[in-house]
Formats: sequence, structure tokens, C-alpha cells
Amino acid sequence: MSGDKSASSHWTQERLTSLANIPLMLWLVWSVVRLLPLSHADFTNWLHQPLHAGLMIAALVSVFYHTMLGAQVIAEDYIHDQAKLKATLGVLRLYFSAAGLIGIISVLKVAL
Amino acid sequence: MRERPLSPHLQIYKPQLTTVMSILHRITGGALAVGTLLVVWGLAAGAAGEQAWNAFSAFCHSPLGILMLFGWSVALYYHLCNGIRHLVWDSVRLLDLQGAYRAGYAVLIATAFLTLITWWKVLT
Repeated sequence: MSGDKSASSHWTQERLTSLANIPLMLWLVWSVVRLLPLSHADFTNWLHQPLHAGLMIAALVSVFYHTMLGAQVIAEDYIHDQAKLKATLGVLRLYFSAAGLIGIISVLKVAL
Repeated sequence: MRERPLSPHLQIYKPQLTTVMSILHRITGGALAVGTLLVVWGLAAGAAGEQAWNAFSAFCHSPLGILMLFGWSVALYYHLCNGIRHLVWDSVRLLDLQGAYRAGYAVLIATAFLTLITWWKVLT
């Protein structure tokens, strides 16, 4: 996620990730609800399937990218000092990238 | 930058469906950003092994865990449904006041419905 994106590409990417998130998040919630109570074996068997692992990774990427885009909008609204804004966006980017990465690596560890 | 005087706004304007739902969209977005950490925790715990998974599962079954999951689900469904309302607006539809209000009520009903059937399924 680079820092220097034009406003229109931010707008487009926000909409694209929104659209992707709709089916992905509904899929995620319903998968979990359907599998309850989720034992560790249930979890491992479910995530081991390539389709589920793939969708899970897609969901993580789309959600955390969407979250960063949204967080950027909020930060720009409330932080006016340019230096503080840049620092905050940097920290947020790091946080969401790390969270997404941990998620993806976890999925890969189970699935592969 | 020197503090500049602002006209009163929040203290004066009567809360309306449109404005309240708008700020709720932002608030639920923020809540989801934090709550998605629960999902990552679950994945990491599952990858780590049975012990870590059981600890995660125990938290999910605890009162605090259930409260957080419930809150996360409400925030998710609201943000998702209102997000669709936003996408409809982006297609230059329902931008009139009546359309926006009707869509707003539809979002609230859909959110309640989705939350209800989800937790109905969870608890039975």
C-alpha cells in the first residue's frame, strides 16, 4: 500500500474493496456460524480446503485494504497537522499490514 | 495553526436519520477495524495449535467475548448494509431526501434482521 495515491484512485479502490467485501464477509460469517461449535479439528479441516483458504486470504487482503482506505479518510478529517497526519497514517498502515500478514501466514500454515 | 472560532453545529442541529446514520457508518467502520483483530487472533490461534485455539474459544464463549462478537456482528451488518446504500448513491440513485430516508430505514431493518437470524442460528 503506497502512500502517494491520487484521490480518484482512492475513491475507486474504496468502492472495489467494498464490493469485494460484501460476498467475502457474508461468506465468512456464515461459514463460522454454520460450523459452530468450532473445535480445533473442525477449524483445521475447514481451512485446509484450498477454496476456503483462498477465500480467507482474499477476505483478509480486501478487508484490511478497505480498512486502511477508510482510516485514511478519518485521519485526514481530524488531524490537520501534516506531520502528525503522516505519522498517524504510517502507524495505521503498519498496524493493518501486520494484522493482515499475520492472518495470511496463519491461513497458509494451516492450509499448506 | 492558531485555533479558529467555529460556528456551533452539533449543539444546534437537530439529529436526523441521515446525519446519525452517516456518523454511525464511520463509527462502525472504526469498531470493525479494531474488531477484525479478533478474526486474526482466531486464525493465529488456530495455526498455533489446539491449546492456543482452546484459549481463543474460551474467550469467545466468555461474557466479554460474546458481547464483543455480538457488537462486531451488529457493526458488520450495519456497515455492510449502509455501505450498499452508499454504493447505490455512487451510482447516482436515491439521492433525493425521500429515497435516502427510505433506504436508511431499509438498512436499519436489514441490519436488525441479519443480526437476529445470525444469532438465532448461533444460539440454537
